[in-house]
Amino acid sequence: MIKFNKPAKLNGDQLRQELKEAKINLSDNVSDLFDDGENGLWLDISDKDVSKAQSVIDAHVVKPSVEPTIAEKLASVGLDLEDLKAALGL
Amino acid sequence: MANTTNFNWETPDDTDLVKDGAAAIRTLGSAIDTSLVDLKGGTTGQILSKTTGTDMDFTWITNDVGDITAVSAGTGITGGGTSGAITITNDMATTITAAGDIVVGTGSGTYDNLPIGTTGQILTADTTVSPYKVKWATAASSTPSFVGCIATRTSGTQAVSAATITAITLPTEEIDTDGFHDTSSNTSRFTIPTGKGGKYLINVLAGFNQSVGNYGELYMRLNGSNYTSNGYTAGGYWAYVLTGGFNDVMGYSTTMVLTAGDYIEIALRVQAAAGVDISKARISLIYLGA
Repeated sequence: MIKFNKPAKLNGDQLRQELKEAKINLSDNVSDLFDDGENGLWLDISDKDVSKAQSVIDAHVVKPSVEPTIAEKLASVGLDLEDLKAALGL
Repeated sequence: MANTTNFNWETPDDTDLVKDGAAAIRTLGSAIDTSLVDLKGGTTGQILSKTTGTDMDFTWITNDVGDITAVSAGTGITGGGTSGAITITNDMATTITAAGDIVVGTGSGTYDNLPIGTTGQILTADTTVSPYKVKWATAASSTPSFVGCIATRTSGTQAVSAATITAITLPTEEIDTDGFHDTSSNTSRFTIPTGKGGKYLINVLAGFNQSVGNYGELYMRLNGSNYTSNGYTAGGYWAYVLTGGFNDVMGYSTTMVLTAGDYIEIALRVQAAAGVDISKARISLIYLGA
């Protein structure tokens, strides 16, 4: 694990994707990306990727989250709008 | 011819002639003389002893043959003597002078009285106490001393980024008996001190002022890595909570075997895109024994 300064804003999944796009080998294991709670961000990457990872971290800007639609929320639990209408007697 | 009843000595018949009286008396006397021959002799103080089972078969013997001639007091006994009524006394018994006294060895073949202690005391070996090597002492308290640490976050917040395993920091302590935790550096860590390796009960409680998103996960981390052994999930998280749509609280309890030098951390991972703020946390590490 290599320690970096944690960016002011961080989304682990997004940073993981940005590292992957930069051809930095970071496994899908969630423990490969660790915030020590004291501004240290630890990545389980190769020493040769340190400077490249630092650039990715410096450029990391958290994308605003998109609120899922009602249909998407229902779909996440295996329902659709018709199911909801039927349940409500509409 | 008439004979005596017991010894069958010959005596004259009533019809015998007087002229034969001297001979008869001599015969009787000789018989008596023969019967009592064993009574002859002996010396002052001697007594008669049967020599065989035959009537009138005696021997003069010294009267102490075969008897105890002296009683000597050995270890632990007093008194004794060589004549008359002899008294012996158990010295250990007389060493005891009061109720509760016990006799304690003070060396090879020696002993002394150890008076009773006070109520509740127990007899304890102590080689520094001369000459007894034991003493009455107050029993150790039966109330076990707590060993462990309770570290907390009671004010302020800790930001936890989305989708990032983040160690829960604990800037304050309630109890720390053995320096498990530090409130100024690496505040997320509980380090097992020397001599305190063994089984630990770990209780975790973390609270937030908002929902943790779709779900949150609590991780046990051992020496900087997710702990995935002994029933933990392959991913290393032990407890997770789905969003309740309101403030969330997460917690769990577990037992771990830890060795001196090990350190553990509790970490959190949430799915909320904006991350969450830990507003309260309370983690206790309780030493159960070796």
